Amino acid sequence: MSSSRIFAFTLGTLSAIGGFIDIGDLVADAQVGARFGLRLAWITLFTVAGIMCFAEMSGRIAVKTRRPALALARARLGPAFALFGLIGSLLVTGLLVMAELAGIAFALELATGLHYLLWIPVAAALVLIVFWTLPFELMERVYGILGLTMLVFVVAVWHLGPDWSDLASSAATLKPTAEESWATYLFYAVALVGAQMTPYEMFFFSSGAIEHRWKPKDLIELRTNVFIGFPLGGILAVAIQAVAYLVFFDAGVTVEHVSQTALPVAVALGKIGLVIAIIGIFAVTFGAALETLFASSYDIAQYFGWSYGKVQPKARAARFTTTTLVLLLGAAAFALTTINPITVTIVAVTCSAALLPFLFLPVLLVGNDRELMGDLANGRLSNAVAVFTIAFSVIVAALAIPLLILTKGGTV
Amino acid sequence: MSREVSARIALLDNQIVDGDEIPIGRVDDLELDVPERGAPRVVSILTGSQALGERIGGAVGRAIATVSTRLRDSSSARPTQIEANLIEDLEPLVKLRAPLRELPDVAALERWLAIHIVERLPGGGDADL
Repeated sequence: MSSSRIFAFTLGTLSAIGGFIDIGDLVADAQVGARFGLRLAWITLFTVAGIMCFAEMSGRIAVKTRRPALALARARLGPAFALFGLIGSLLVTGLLVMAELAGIAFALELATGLHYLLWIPVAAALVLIVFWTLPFELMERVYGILGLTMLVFVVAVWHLGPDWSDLASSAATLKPTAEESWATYLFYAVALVGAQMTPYEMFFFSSGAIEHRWKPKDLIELRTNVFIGFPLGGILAVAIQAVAYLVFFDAGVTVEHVSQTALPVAVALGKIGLVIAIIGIFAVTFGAALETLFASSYDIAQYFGWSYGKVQPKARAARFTTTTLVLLLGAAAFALTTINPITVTIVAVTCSAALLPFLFLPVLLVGNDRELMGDLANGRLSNAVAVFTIAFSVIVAALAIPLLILTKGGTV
Repeated sequence: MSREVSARIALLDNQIVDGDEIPIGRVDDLELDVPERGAPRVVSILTGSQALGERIGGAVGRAIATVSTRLRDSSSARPTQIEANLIEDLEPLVKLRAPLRELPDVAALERWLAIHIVERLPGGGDADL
C-alpha cells in the first residue's frame, strides 16, 4: 500500500472521530455528566456498536448499488412508508441544523465575548459560502480533522486528577443518583441514544461511497474508518461526561448553556485548553451543520428523484439547491427567535431516538436483499448486531416521547 | 424487446434519469392501456407530486396532489406524463432517450426554480433547459 493511500486511510478515520461528535453530544454528554456522573456511560457501548453496524451497512449498500439505502427504501417499502420516514427525519435534522448553527455561534461567543445571537447570521453566512463555493467532501475532511482538537476533553480528564476508582464505580452503577428519579435517568439514556446514533452518519458513509465511486475492494477503507473512528468517538463522548462530572457534579451545577460544556477544559488546562476546546466545538458544529443541512436536502431530493449535490452547475440541480437555501435560511431564522438551543437540541435528539427503528429497518431489509446485494449482502455478525440494535431502538423509541413529556425534557 | 420485467420492481418508484443521465424524478405512477383482448400495456409513466399524491391517497396524498396541481400552470388537470416509447433502458434506473430540455412538460418546478432563482445567483451556472 502506498504512503498516500495510508494517508487517505488515516484522514478518513480521523474525520470519523470528529464526525461522531456534534452539538447533540456536546449538550447531552455534558448534561448527563453533570447530573449522573458516568452512570449512563454504558449507553455509549450500545450506540457505538449500533452506529458502526449501520454505517458499515449503508456504505456497503452504496458500494454495491450506487444508491443510498434510503433511496432504495422507497422502491422496496412503497411511497407512503417512505414519506413518513422522510417527514420524521426532516423534522429532526431540520431542528439539528438550527442547533448546530447555534453551536457555531456559541463557539464564536466564547472566543469573542459577543452574544451568540449576533453570531447566528455570521454562522449561517459561513455555511452558505462553504455550500456555494467549496467541494463538500473537502470541507467534511477539514472539519473532521479540526474536530480532533476535541480530544482535549480526554486530556482534561487526566489533568483534573480524578479518583479513578470513583469514576469506575460511577460507571458501574446503573441507576440514578439519590436526588434523581428513574424517569429522568431513563430520559437522559434516551437522549444519549438519540445524540450518539445519528442517522445522518449513515448518510455520511453512503454519500461518501457513491461520490468516491468506491469499489468492493475499497470496503476495507470504509470499515477501518468505521471500526476505529467510531469507538474513538465514543471514548470522546464519555470523556465529555467525565469532565462535566468532575467539575460540575459536586458543585451541583447544571448545564444550561452550550458554552458551559467548555468550562471543565478551562478549569483543567487553562487558557490554552479553552482555546483548543473552542476550535474543537467550532469545527464539530460547523461540520455537523453542513452534514445535517445536506442530509436534509438529499433526503428530500432522493424521495422525489431530483438531481442533487454532485450534479453541476447548481442550476442543473435547481430544486435541490433551492431546498438547501430555504432550509438554511429557515434554520437561521428559527435560531434568531431566541428559543433556547439546548431545549431544541434535547427535543431533537429525543425525537431522533423515537425515529431510529423506522430508519434502521429499511437499511437492514436492503442489506439482506440478496438479489440486489449479491455477495455483499449482510453476514451473520452484521445481522445479529443489527437485529439487536433495532430491538434496543424499539424500546428506546417507545419510551422517548412519553419520557420527554413526563420529565418536561429532563428539567424535573 | 420481449424481455419480461416486473412493473413493481423495474418501474414503480424507481429513479428516472434523462438522456444526459441527470436525475429528473421518480416513476410516481403508471398509465395502463387495457385492450379488450390481450395483455394490458404501459402507455406512459407518470411523474411529479400530483401523480404521487393521487397514488398515496388519503388526506396527506390529496393535500400533496392539490398543492402540486395549483402550482402548475398547465391548463390540463392531468399529472405529468412521459410516453413509454421514450424509455431507453429500465434497470437499474429508468433512462430516457431525450435530455430534459426536449421534454418541456416534465419537471416544471425544476425549470421554474432554475430560471427564476438559481441561474440568477452568482455562480449558479446555466441550467441549459
